[in-house]
Amino acid sequence: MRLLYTAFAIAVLLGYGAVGFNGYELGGGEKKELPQNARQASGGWRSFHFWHVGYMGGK
Amino acid sequence: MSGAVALNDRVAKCGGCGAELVFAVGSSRLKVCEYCRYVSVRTPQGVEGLGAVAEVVPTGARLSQGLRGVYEGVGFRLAGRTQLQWAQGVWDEWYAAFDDGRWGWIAEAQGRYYVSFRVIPRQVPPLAAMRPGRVVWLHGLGRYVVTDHRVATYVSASGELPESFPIDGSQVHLVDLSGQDGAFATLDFGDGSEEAPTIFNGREVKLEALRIESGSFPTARPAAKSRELTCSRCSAPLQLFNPAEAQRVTCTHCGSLLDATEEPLRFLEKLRTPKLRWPLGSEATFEGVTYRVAGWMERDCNVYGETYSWQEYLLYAPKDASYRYLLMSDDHWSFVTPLAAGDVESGYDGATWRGQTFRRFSRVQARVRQVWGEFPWAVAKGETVQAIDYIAPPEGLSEERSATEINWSHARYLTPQEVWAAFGGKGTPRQPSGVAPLQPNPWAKSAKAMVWTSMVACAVAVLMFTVFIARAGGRMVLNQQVTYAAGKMLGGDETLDLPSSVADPNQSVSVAFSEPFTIEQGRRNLRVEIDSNVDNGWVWVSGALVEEATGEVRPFGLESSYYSGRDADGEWWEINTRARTYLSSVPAGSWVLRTEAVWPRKQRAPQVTLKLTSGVVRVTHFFFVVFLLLLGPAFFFIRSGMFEQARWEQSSESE
Repeated sequence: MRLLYTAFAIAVLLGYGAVGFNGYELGGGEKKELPQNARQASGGWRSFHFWHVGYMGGK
Repeated sequence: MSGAVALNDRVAKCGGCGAELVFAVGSSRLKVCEYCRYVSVRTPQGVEGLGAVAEVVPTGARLSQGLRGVYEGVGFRLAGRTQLQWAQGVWDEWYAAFDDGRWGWIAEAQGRYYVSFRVIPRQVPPLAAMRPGRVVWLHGLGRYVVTDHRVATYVSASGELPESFPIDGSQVHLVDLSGQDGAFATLDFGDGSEEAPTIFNGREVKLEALRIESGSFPTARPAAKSRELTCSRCSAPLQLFNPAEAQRVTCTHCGSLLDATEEPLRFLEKLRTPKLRWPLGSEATFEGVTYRVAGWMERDCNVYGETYSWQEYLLYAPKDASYRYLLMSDDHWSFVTPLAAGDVESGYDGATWRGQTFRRFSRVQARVRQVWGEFPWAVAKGETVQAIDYIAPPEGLSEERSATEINWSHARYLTPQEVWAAFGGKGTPRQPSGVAPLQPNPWAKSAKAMVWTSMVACAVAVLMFTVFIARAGGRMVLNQQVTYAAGKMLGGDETLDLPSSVADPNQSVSVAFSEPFTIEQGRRNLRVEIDSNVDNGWVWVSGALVEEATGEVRPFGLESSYYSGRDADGEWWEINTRARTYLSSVPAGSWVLRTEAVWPRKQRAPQVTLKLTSGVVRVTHFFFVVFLLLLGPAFFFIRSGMFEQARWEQSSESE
């Protein structure tokens, strides 16, 4: 049982280390990417249209 | 009284039959004629006759008159013997004449041997105060505990004896004391009227310690009663395990309980045949010694209105005529060994034995409910003793006290598998139910083992947390106050109108862009905080961090609200103007924050403060890790506590 717990503790500490060193957050990791054309087009991703009916798909 | 005739210092004529009496030992005062059993006593005036004594009762004693041995480096010879009878039977006292001129007694009872010497009188409490369990300090000899107060009579003697004894059957009061490490003392109060008892002091020894010379010494115990024993009710033959010391025996044919001290065996009562897990005569080996099940009894006690019962198997070791007990309750087993009372120090809360402390568990009146088999004491249904149990699982001590004696014993918990293996491994052990007083706590060991591991793990977590604090930075990368305007897009070089078609008719929308800002250190979290000036209203801020070079977008959403009012209870507030969220591992780069605020149309446009901080130390993460690390030990400690609670619920000391 002690061995099992030791393994668990090591896993927890490794996980904590990974979180701490990489700045990971639970639930705060959503990532998206602007399409190439939106980045290059005039107005592009700054337009209201882009965020609501364009790539981002609206609310 | 006169009758014997002195011929010289060592030789006399028997007053009973005229045979020649030889006092072979200088310290001898009495001589029992081997032909007529007449007792002659040497006095300064000559030899006198005291009268005849009865034949020696066969007791199965291994020692015998004339045997030579060596005790503590000094040779001795057993020159004579007396026999005393008390309520529980007959025991032998052997007169040992030592080569250095001393003399002492060697008592033999139930396979135990006690060597003692007369010592100078000491101040002791009066006989009436000699209650079992009382501690008595004998000056120069140490601490002793009164174990029993016996009223005995001399029933027989043989050979030579060092001092006179009452042969008229009058009673003598003997108080036995038990000291540490086998020490013991006997206080002889004579007929009970003597204030200063004769004191004999010595110790319990193994037979081997007497170094009885080989040749004449019997390797096996001699038969105490060579006659055939039969049941006085049904005439069935009875096979006794230890005929020398049997006080009660059950006829397994008709179920009669018989008094084995009388012949013919006296019928006492009819017993109900019990169902025994291990029948009488079953052989078992514990701690390397082979025992036979000689007897069985069921006892019970009452604790706060609840009756607890247990069974006791009496185990007899033919090798040394000793007894042990095997206790069973709810299929939990323990092996019980008698202890010398002087080796135990007890107080109100606990007892100490061999440096180990035992906690008091129960104090009950233990009652004999059923008996079966053979017992070396006058066991009877319904007899009660005060039993006090002390525990230090898997071991325990037990004190059983009656009006006349106190007995201590040591118990060790056995698993059913150990018991079955001791009995030869036949059958399948039944699983115990509940928690036994002596049962080892299966959770405690794991809990204790985990404490150290968890402490080390928590220390590592603290160290890591410290490193994270030093590394985090906690740099604010944006601090901006935005005053939103309904239907407007703010930021950059111009303010644009938003298309009205996409807006909810009941809500106002505004968009704002920040100036580009730099996050210098990547692989850090990012804290996003908002605060607003809304009053009895709300604003929802949908945000997106945009890295222009890579196109990475990190969206989030936060609400800020504030409500207040008055009702029957007075004024009230719901203040949630500040809100925050964390974005995971945001890379270094040049970022722009786009926010889109939505608020009720009837509400005035909000002013929102936006703060972004890179590399924030998360205390909650640290505490969550510590919580996880303590989860294992906590689980085992809780289970351990529940186990102990179940154990102590049976205790008479628990309330």
